[in-house]
Amino acid sequence: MRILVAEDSPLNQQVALKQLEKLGYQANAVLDGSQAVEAHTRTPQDIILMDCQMPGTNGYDATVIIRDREDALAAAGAPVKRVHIIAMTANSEADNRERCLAAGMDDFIHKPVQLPELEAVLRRAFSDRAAARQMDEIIDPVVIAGLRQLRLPGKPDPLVEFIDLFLREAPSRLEAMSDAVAQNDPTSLTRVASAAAALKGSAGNLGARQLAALCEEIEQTARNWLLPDTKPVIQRARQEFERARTVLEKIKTG
Amino acid sequence: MDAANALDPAALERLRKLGGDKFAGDMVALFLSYGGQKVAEAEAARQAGNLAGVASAAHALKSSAGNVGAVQVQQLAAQAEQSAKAALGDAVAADVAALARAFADLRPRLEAEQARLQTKALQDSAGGLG
Repeated sequence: MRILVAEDSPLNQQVALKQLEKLGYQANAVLDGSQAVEAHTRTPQDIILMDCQMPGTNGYDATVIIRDREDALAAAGAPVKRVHIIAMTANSEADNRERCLAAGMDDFIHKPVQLPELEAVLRRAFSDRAAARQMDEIIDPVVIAGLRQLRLPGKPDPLVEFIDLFLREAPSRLEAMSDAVAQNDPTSLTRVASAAAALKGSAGNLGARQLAALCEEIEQTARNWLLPDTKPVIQRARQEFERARTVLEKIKTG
Repeated sequence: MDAANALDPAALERLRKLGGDKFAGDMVALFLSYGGQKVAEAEAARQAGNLAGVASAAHALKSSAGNVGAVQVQQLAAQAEQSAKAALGDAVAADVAALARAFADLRPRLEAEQARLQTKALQDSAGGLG
């Protein structure tokens, strides 16, 4: 876990480092926003605790630079791990939070930073990252990044079209499998196998690896004349499709 | 706020719990040198008519003071930052002066705290050796 503290006050910096140490993290520190951008570019960080008001490049501007770079990398098709940025601010104005979120920060902590608040804000960061990891297991981000590269200026985003097409077609493929199993006639095995093969292909094209693997299992089971055995796997494929749908909807809306 | 409750002892206690007597003493010393420098910067900026400089120095004080419980300095720094941002010339002069006075008044108390914490840290390490 790489944590960076960007804070110009040596006192706040040392207190933050000591608090992180107490919570079990060895963090590094820099004195302003441009150093934070540099450090993160050199060694990608998991979490940055970012003071908002620093001389030179302040925390808001540094965050905008970091987010722009992440967007540029993603647009170029590189897989990007989005760094979790937590604002540290001595201001209490209500609109301050809005300003932090508008700059692209994820969370917010008041100064002087107290240990329980720091622990809570880190816990939130970890659950966000765990959720992101889970999403990556459902839909491979490298495949999505590759599809994003296909976008041409002035044309509709092909990624959105692929996702829409998949979300429209996949339910009918799953339905076809279930119907074929229920009807249990001489054509059932072929129907299950061909629907599973088709869904495997389109799931694989969108990086839905687990769904593709389940479809492969259904296809092989059907080809081995074991129709009843496909039933529980089709059920699992339905559940996996619902998970994939949730993640794909999120990817679509950015 | 009067000078008697200019310092919140709970903050120093938190620092002690966090990193021990030596760490707490070091943080008080750091506040005295860094804070002193920021007070001087605020005064110099005020004399030069540089309101952004006043706001920035006052903000740095406001943001650091809470760690050692320098609540009066924290409040006056917030006030100086606000009037500098609002470009209230007369108020800025009065606020910076009040801030400098509060910092100067607090200095001997913090120096005493620092000495006490350092002595304790030394005693503890001597006790640990013996």
